[in-house]
Amino acid sequence: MTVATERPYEIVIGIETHVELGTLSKMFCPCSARWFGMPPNTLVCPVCLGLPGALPVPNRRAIELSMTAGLALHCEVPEHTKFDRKNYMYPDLPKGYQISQYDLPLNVKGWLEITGDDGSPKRIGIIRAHLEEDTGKLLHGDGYSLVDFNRSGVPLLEIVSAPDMSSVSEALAYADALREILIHAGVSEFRLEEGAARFDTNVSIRFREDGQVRWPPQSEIKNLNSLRALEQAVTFESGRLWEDWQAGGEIRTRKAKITVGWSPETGRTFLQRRKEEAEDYRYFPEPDLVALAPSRETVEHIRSSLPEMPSERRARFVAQYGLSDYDARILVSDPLLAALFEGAVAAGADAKTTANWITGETLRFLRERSVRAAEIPFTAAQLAELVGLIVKREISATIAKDVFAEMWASRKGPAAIVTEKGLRQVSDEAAIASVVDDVISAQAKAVADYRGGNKRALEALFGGVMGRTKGKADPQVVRRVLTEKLG
Amino acid sequence: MAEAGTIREIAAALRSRRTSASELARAAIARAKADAYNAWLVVAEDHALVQARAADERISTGDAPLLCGVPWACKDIIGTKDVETTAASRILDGYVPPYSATVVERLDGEGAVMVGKTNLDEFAMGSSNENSAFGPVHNPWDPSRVPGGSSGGSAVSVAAGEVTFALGTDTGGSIRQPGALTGIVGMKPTYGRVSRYGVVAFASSLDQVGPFTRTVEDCAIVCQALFGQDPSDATTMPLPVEDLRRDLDRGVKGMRLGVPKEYFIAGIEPGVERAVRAAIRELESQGAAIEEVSLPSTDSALGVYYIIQPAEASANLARYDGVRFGLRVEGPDLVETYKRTRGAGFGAEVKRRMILGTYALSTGYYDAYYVKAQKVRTVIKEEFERVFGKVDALVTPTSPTVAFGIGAKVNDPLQMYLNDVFTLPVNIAGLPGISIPCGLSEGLPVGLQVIAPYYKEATMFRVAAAYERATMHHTLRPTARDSRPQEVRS
Repeated sequence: MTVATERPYEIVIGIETHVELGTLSKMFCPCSARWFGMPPNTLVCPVCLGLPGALPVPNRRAIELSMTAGLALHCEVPEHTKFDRKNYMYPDLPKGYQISQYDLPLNVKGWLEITGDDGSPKRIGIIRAHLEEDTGKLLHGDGYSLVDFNRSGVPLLEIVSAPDMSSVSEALAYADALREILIHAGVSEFRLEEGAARFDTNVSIRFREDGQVRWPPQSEIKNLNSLRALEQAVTFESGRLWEDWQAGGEIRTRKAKITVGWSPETGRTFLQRRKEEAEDYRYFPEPDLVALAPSRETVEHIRSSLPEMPSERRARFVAQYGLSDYDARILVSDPLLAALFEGAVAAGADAKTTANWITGETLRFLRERSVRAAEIPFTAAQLAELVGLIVKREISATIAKDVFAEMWASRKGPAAIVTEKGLRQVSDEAAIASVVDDVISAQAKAVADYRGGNKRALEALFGGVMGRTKGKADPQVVRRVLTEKLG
Repeated sequence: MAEAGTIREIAAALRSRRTSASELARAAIARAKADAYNAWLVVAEDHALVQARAADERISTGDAPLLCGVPWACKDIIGTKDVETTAASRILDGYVPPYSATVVERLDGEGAVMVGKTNLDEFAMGSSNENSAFGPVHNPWDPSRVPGGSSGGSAVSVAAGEVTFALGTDTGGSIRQPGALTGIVGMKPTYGRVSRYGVVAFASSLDQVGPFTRTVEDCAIVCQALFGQDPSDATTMPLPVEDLRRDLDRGVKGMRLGVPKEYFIAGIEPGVERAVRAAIRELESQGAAIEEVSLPSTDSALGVYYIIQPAEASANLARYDGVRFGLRVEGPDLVETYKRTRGAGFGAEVKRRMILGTYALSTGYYDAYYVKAQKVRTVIKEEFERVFGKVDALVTPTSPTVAFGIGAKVNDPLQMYLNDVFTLPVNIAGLPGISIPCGLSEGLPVGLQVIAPYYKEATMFRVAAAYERATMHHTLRPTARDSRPQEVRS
């Protein structure tokens, strides 16, 4: 199967994602792993500073989360796995080696599914996902550099995809799907904006020329820290490789991959090193740690406690609750929203109306206040109560919005607010009819216009009734009575 | 007290108020300061006196452990909070750790009084204590000779009667060999028995901390304080520690003791072999069944050791980069700063081993060297395990020679490495081993090594104590041959 494309070449993309795990403490010491925004070198101890004599003690939770991630990505968890030392010297790496995993990673041979460019589901292979420790951070000044070791030793999962993506949009879909899965599985918050997730992206181009398939060596674009950077850098680099080929440039003779960086300022990549200059990391088993043999019971326990993954959950929301794809996608994008939805429905609320109130008012409030779903002040049961009032037409949609705002502000339940403020909808025909009579006599001109054939004049009369009842009158009853009386 | 007594003697004297911990500490400090063998790098006088005062208070409550108030010396590769720790390397010049090693904390907890830090081969790399950046250590039996290494300073501090016990580290024989060459007890526990946390790492899969003492009983008492799982060291075993003195008086009657024939090779000095054979006969006369056994891969151990140990060291020493602590020699750029710092900070033997280790781990050589060495390591372990199916313990010489002259082997690393040929298989297998004095050859001490199965230190002490009880070798003192001015006697 080939996709019609305007490009004369195919892009081949593989992504190595580094993502910090959502543990409280670091990978090998008890220091807090919540380093973002902390004053430099305040979350450190002999272990993560690499002081002489310090020894690593593995964080059990980090190992469990890594396996959780692997299982969510349909990986196998081998029976034998171990840590290795990856040796290289750099000032942000205090021990002169990074504890990582070389030949026996925690997870191998998985996949995730995206929607491919042709609109059909496409599986992207996961070659491996291994656990390692993050480095410190360098802060460069004028003629000097400072090192902050707060991030040193934070657990990092490196997820290596197969080179299965064939376009920028597929690469973005992969990054998005991965992010969604890891957040759903409770493995990581995937905070790209804090540098807690990064992409190293391998890009190459493949095309036919003179009847032969050409596939020159790839570029590895290091440290992309946003989806936008991923998109721009891959677009730029694949185009650059093609132009270089057309111009008879160095790519025609190069035998090995190159490593490049991405400059968002210039919108260009820049050469970091050639393969020939690549370091020999001299991996060997970490003698300070014992090899791991995750028991099959542990693996099965983690597998059975995996939450439902987003793609499955979306499909279920559509099938079970009759939601649109669009609503299902929004709800599932955040586990808390999905839980709020299902909680409200379980409490008896109408599914469609509940979905509308979450994707509408709730998200609007979150956006306006720039807060996360965790800060939603009401419970699923309270939302269900509000939806119940609306469906049973005890309050109108307009009143419901006021009640919603009040729920947010006062944290009271909707029924209590309605009772307290006397907002219950008036559906009593006699009461409404008397107000309609008042409005008809008060707005003679509108009545005349309506009877003269201007049907829009009805809206003015309707507004009059709603105004006099402070919005509490049942709009459907008002409309019917009005039309009857105006004959 | 002319010299530091045994733990039992000191405990009795302290409890009967014949002396105080403070008095003992002052005497030990005086002896350390007057030491004529370059055994000490730091005499931590104030630190020791503070600890001694606390020990005296604790003793006055009538509820003090055996080690309370006992003066000891710490190999300067073991980190001590607020007391400079250099591993006898220029690269750690001025480094004062912000935390103490677990073994130090445990001894602190017992109320023992640390008198100071002792000299060693730089980063414990050596068998003669000639590789110290702060000069060689002299053997009190003959100051023109080496005390062995790498824990030479710790061995001498006990052999010369300056302190009651000392801690060393043993990666390939660095406690047992200097123990043998200075005529005292030196012991390496089973790998995983004692925490390595806070001990400057040399070769992580081989390093263990252990004591130097005058007697086997003292050794067992110190081990009792050191042994046990440490949550800060993932390689320590979660095993309960039994009473290590339980079998000291049981004797060897009915025990099966193996004598590996590969340990009596060409190159062993006749006087050493004579003393060891005599010791074996003594054990036999006490009722032990002596059996010749074979450990065929013994001659491969040295090769395995000189792959694994430098490989691990090459990584362990990468952190000495001038960025956070110790020496820094500024260069025009980062790489040059690294080169200058490390070039100036490390001695020749350390550089040699880092180059060896880096080479062995490099792409294209890793399988041929490191991987193969690990396979042979497994074979060596299996051979020991098989032999321990037949015998309760092994008895061997500790070192093929007695103490040799300072400078005699410095230009021949291979000859130097052969010193550890009987001790390093024990590290490769991770077994416990002890060296005890078994007489003199040419007037210099010879050591008898007892090797036990994993975690059978109590069995090892049983054999060693039986031998010690029947002989007087452990009571010999080096003063007879010493031509140098002796330390101050109070």
